[in-house]
Amino acid sequence: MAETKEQIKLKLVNVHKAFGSKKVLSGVDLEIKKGESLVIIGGSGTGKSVTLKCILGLLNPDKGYVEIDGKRLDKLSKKEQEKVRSQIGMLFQSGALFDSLNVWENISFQLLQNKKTDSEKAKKLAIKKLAQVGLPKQVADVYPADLSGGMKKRVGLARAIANNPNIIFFDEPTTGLDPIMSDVINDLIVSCVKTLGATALTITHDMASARKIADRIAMLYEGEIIWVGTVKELDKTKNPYVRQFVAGSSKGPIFVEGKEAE
Amino acid sequence: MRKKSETNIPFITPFIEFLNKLGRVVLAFFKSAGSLGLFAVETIYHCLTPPLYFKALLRQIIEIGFYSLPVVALTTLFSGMVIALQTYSGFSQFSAEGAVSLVVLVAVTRELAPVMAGLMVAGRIGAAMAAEIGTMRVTEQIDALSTLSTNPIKYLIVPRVIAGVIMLPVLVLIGDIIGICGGYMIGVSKLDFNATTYLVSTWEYLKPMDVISGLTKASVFGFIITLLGCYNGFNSKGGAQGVGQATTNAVVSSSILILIFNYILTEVFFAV
Ligand SMILES: Nc1ncnc2c1ncn2[C@@H]1O[C@H](COP(=O)(O)OP(=O)(O)O)[C@@H](O)[C@H]1O
Ligand SMILES: [Mg+2]
Repeated sequence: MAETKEQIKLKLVNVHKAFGSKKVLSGVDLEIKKGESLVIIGGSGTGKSVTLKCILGLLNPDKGYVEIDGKRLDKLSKKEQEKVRSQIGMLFQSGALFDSLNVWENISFQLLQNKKTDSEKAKKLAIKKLAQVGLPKQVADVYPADLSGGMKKRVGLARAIANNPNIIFFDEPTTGLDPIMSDVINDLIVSCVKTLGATALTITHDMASARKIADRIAMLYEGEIIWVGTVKELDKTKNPYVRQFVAGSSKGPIFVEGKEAE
Repeated sequence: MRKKSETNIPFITPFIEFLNKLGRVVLAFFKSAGSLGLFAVETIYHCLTPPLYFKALLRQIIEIGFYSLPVVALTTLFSGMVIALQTYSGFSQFSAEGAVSLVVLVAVTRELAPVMAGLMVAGRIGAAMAAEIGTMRVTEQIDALSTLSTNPIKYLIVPRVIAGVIMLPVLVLIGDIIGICGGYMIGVSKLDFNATTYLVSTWEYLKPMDVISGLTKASVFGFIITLLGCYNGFNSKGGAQGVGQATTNAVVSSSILILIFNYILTEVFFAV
């Protein structure tokens, strides 16, 4: 191990993905250092979720590959891939809580299913994780259908961190929440990632959230990463695409469907 | 003589367009048949390899076996009753009323109980499975399963398919008994058969092969219903509308397949 160089935890190399004739990713290259929190920004439908799903193995890249801890995932056997990926936690855009299970069963799902923990212990752990995301233990027996949007996100977060992952993904954690709840979620993400000492990859188009969470920010546009830098660099960049996105303006070089080209 | 440009021949353009469309439909059919086949193979593979989620299996067994009992009981009861009536009115023209108990027995065990139960369960269970799994697909719950180190096919599909294959025969066996009782009730109360004679002749005509063939059919139907319910749900996309579409497809396709396989299995069992 080279000690002078920071370790690369997660690496995407020339990842391509198309659905039929529709190209979504056309050569994504990205490196995330160990313990770093990287945020990918980009418009709706630019393939941010698809990027995460390629890393998670829910989709297979058409070309290119993903490396975790320096191991190329496509070169590993299915079993080894699963083992590498089992260290990843994921908070889905919609929460994706299982509605047939109550909150604590959701949170300790992995423990209950695969490690054969007895349910009393699993529930205790779930309540501990609930406390970590700021929810009282009464919530443990509630079903997801009876939770508000913000609570669903928090429970989703508790489930994502339940197995103490080394890598954690957040897919639009603040979308659909009011600004105050968004800030609560942002704080929780920062504190959870810090507590776990995990490497975090967050997807968002909420700039306030990105500034709060990110060590570095990358911008995805037309299937490629067109810019990477720190928050400070973000404010100084001359890149017109990034500037337009950060300003949230409809005027600029970014192609917007339904808008006349200038 | 051949013309230089074929498009000049009247009717040829619409004809080619028709062929084009036909080709596309045929291709789409083989494509979905192929992906269903692969899905079936994968499901069977996971049925045969551990781990098996027992709690989920138990829940499905109760859902399919217990809660479908009322509809299956009702449909087979009335089927048995109607067969007794119809046979009597038909056979009495040939003074063969004595065959009523035989016809009821054969019709119920070989055909009516398995097909009725199959179609009823397809409507009840197949639709519910497609809707539930489809909703899980479009709300990313299936993706979430994978990220929690749980194979969605093992966790969601395998328990349902196994429960279907086991419980449909049980339902049909109960349906057999209820259907024969229905015939007996009509025979004794409306058609003035002697109760003992009717029962004794039913017992004498009873052949294991009739019941076994019906139960085998039921098992196959159970596989078809659960597999198609799960397949359509698992591959649904595009929100609520996609889930609705998946539900419809599950019921229609499994009902058609049940009738086709009913014919094929009858050939296999009874062709001379
Ligand atoms: N499974 C899929 N099949 C077909 N198209 C898909 C699929 N998943 C995503 N897409 C398409 O890829 C594009 C990018 O989607 P996504 O990554 O979800 O966008 P976002 O950046 O908003 O997260 C969208 O246009 C979407 O329609
Ligand atoms: Mg998305």
